[in-house]
Amino acid sequence: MAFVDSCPPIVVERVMHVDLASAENSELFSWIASQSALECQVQAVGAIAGRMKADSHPQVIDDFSASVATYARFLDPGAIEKVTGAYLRMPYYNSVALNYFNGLIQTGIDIRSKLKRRVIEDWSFTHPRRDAASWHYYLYLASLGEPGAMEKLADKIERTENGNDATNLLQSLSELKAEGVVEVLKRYETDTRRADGTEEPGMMISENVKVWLMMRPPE
Amino acid sequence: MGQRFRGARGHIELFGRNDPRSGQATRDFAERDEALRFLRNSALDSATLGALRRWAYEQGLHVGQHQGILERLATELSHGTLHLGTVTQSRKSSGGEKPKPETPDKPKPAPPPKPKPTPPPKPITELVVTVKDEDGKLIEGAKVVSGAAGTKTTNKEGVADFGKVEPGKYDITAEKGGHSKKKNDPVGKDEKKQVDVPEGSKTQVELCQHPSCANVAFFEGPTTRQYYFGFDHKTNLVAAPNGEYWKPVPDRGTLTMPGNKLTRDAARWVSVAVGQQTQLEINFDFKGTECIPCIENSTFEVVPANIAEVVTASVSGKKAAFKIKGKAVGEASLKVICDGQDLGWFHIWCVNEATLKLDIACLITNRAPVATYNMGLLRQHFEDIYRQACIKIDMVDLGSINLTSNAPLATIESSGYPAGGGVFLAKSGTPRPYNSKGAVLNALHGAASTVLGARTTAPLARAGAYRLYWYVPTVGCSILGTVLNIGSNISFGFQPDSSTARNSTAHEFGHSLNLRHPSDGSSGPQFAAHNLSTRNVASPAYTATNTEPASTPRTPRSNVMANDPTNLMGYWPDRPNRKRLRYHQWKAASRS
Repeated sequence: MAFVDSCPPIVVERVMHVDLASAENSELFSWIASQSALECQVQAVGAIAGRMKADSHPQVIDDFSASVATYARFLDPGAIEKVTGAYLRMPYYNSVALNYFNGLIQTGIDIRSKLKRRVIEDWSFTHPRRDAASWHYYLYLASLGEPGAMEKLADKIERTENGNDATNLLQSLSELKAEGVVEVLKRYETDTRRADGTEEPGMMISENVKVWLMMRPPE
Repeated sequence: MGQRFRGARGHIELFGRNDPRSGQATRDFAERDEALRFLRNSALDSATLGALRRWAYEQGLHVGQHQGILERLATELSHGTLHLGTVTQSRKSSGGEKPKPETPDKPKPAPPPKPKPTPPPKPITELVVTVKDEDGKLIEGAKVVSGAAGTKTTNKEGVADFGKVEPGKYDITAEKGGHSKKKNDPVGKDEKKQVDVPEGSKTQVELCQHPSCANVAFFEGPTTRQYYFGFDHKTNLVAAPNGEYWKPVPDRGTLTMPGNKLTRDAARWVSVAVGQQTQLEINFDFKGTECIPCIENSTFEVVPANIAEVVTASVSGKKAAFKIKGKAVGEASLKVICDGQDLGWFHIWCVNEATLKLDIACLITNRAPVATYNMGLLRQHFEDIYRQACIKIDMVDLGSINLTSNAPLATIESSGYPAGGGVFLAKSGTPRPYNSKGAVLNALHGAASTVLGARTTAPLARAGAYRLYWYVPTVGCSILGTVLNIGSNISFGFQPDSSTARNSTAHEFGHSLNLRHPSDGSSGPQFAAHNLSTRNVASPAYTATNTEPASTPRTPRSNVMANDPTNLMGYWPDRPNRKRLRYHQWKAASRS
């Protein structure tokens, strides 16, 4: 069913005219979700993908990319094509790397050639949600089987001495559905370093790894 | 010498302003009508009128198209720019105008009325005083006193025109409230004594009245929450009471903004998002008399200028709203300057606004029934807190997740409860249920994620979103909430919905953003050292400010900083008012 047939008029109206260059619309998809059923939400991804441009606001790009990742399993080939077009038009910003690459990871869209030399590598971050664009870029590359990408991620974890920082990086890696993830996680099955709890020391890395391996679907 | 003209009933002799008069007596007219009557009574004929018109033209007197020459001359006579010489019938005319021949056969005209005795004509002496400030700006409204010439107030051009005055020596003063005779001088008048005003001259005198400066400017936050992002008066807290740079009110010109933005001079920190405005309340103070002109002389400068810009161009009240706008990511200071001297300042942390997605869900198990929560109030509470760090919260309710039929989960879950009964995650007993916190919460999260991942109807869990679970055990819990670990994107709230519970979940979300307790040994970079060192110290009473409510004295607590007791990441017991994030925390919070 087409977007206009799937969505209430209020959603159609806003999606067709919303200013995607304005940060005011950085919560567009949660608004759509509050106004419509899942079918409309999925159709809206394709409709908005067609409107994403070079001047789209970084926060809007962040919202769009997160929604691509969220609805990825429902997107048909036509919608994926529109999303691919959006990714080729809209700029890349370090500040939205997490969702930007997650949208690509979940859809399997390959725009590596566009991204070459766009992501300046900086591995000084300590947490995957803070200035960690390189981490998310390499998660994306690893998801596409790029040679050496998983080793880069594993190397970052290996060089991380702090137990809490290592826990957060491993937890982020554990959510990636890619070859080699389990192998990296298993390297830490006996790691006795602990995460930081709020009042007392948190779980040992080995305990967390056990949970994450359990939660993963078999490769 | 003037120009003489003859009419049918008499002669007139006119002097321009610069015509020499050789002491000849002149007749003055106080009123224009009087002058006009006199001219008309002189019964000037058309030839004379023509001669008068030409003479007036040569004198530079413009005669309007609809104005008669006599009216124009009358105006000038009444203004004193032309003068009329006293003329008798027997005097001969002079200049280019020939007298008309007298005709003997006509009856002699009646003798002209005897001119009133007039004092001997005096040359014009005038006095004009102009008042400017030291930069040459004209000052309106200054009171100018010029001895016997009297008192006048300067007009928009800064001029007090005393017009014709007696020649002599004058003591002249100019005075305007809030102004001084020099930059950075005390408020007071400017004076020139024994100014020589010679006869026949137009004497111009200049005096100075420079707007004085306020002694000091300082800043508070606004009272309306939506007008600002973050306002921090704790990071640069002074070492001793009343050590703020504006207390006691300093002498004028004695302040210099320190180069180190973390100097403990009580300067405020404000956060602002790039492209957006934030508001403060500017306050001026004086050692002596308070005056508005002093305030209006202030200018505002952002250093460095590329980080933010001043929106409020001028201030005209002792207390006023003051706005800036973020321009680029970075830090800067706003300085209030008056005549090159620093009066006050605050510091700016400017950042791109971030929107973080937070999914809320309620976990239902055999030990924790469905819990209701008010999404509107929860959203409002989070926005209020995280706006301080220029973070917007995009919150979505995933609804309830029923895990009651998950038998393996129930087994793990039970390890979080005392075997003999008691609260969830009890911190006593053997084995201690609290020790199972990680295992139980991981299991709850894993089970919930499996359910959410299988959903084919809205609402869907959003990829990359933080998640907050309400898990409210029937038997209660030893803690209000928690996270899997510092920096984990998964947090839990264990209390039924209330303002306290909402604040607890906001606190736990802070942990998800990498914020730590003051009592956490790794929290050093997230607090000002002088505030962190006041853990385990009795908290004094704090009076309310524009941005924060009053707080009452409290006994020492390990996770409360006496200098900053209501910090979000401490354990201040008045949970609904535990909302503050300070400069170091703005910077430390994750932004994606």
